Amino acid sequence: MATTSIEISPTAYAKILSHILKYQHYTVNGLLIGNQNGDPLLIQDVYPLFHTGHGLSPMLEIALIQLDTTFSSEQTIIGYYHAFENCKQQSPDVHCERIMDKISEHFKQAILLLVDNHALTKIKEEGSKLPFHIFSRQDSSLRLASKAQIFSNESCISSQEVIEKKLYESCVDFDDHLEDTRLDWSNSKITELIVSKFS
Amino acid sequence: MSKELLSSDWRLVYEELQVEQKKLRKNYSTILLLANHLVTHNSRALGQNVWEVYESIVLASLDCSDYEITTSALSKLSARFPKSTRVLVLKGILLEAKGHSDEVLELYQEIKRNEPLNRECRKRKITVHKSKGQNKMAIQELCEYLSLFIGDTEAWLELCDLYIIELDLYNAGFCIEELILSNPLSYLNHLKYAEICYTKGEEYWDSAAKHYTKVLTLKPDSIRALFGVILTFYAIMKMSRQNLQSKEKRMVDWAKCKLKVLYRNSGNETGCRMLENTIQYFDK
Repeated sequence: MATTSIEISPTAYAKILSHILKYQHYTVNGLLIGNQNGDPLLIQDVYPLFHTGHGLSPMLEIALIQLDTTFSSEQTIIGYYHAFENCKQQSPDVHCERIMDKISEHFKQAILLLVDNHALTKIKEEGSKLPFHIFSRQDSSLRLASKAQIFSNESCISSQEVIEKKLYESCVDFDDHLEDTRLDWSNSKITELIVSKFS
Repeated sequence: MSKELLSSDWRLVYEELQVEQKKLRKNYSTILLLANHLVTHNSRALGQNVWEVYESIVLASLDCSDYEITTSALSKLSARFPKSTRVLVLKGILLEAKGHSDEVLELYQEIKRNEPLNRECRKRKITVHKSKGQNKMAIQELCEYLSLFIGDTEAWLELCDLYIIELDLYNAGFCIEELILSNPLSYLNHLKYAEICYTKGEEYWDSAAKHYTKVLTLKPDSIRALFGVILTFYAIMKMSRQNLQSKEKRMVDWAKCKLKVLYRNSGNETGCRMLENTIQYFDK
């Protein structure tokens, strides 16, 4: 059965936004971490992956192995987010499908959050929709999950936080980490800031 | 950016502007602020350099999507240089920003006809095709461009990326071969070549391993190459269902040790733990 309701935590949402804003001119992607058996499916955290070399597999495989071996059986990779450099591109390409194939080997109901670049201009407005198109795998191909809905309780506050406090400048993805291992691609700094905001 | 700088000598402001423009990741709002300050307060002192500052205003304001400033700077430039192609290309970029892609393609085609060797215009035309999602057209134009300017390494890289998006890994590899030939000592080219070979599939894993090791002779602490070596050798081992030959085993063990040392020295604890897990995964 396809997932119909998805919740995204403020931390996860803030990290996705930070990644997109830091590398506005590039195609960026990352992995969604959550609880396998959650209902609604909850995206707890996010690991930003790349802003260069979209379509090449070696470092992607390393990233997947690193996360797969780090998380316990319950918490796992539940999907993938992707933002194209090109505003007009609104559907996933072959490379996205391949990554989703790989993820769904472990988690059948894996989802793809494709960032709607146009909707990004309105994220600061109260009550605006989250800027994602949700895709899921049906009959071994990626389809737009038109019935699926994504919601977050505090998305508006976390987007303000990211933009106004320039949180995105401190965002680190796996690409950055490979260039300089001192950088922490789990972005615990952003987690701390957002969590302290909501507690 | 401090306010003190803006109230100090204009030469310092100008210097700061030039520093900012040479950066790889430019902060366009800073550039716009500095350049605007210079042309409003010191345009006479700048002499002939004022036109370059106007040019940077055009580009920076486009990035900040402040089209009013763009238009006023452009009108200054076209009044001074009515016949200049460089200004014409800037006008084209404004059209691009506003989304008039068909109009701008015509403009660039016109410039290309009159000045076949104008690199700026050819490159802009390629980006317009790319932004319209016409990757095949972009590839075609880029190939034409490279037949004229074979030494443009960035263009080869761009062509390579376009081929990768179009899943044409053979031609993508060819682009990097060109770059390796022109600069055999750059580790970045070998790294990219190795990644392309690995992605191509098992027949090419041998050459992926070869180029990853080449990277390590050129840059022994390349994290990507260290991971790449481990990944590739284990993949080859799994495919051929044989244990690693002693030489390969030594290579992999060395890469693991090297990674551990590099991570330990970096002081990133989460990174160290994740690395341990990854190495255990490969050992299984």
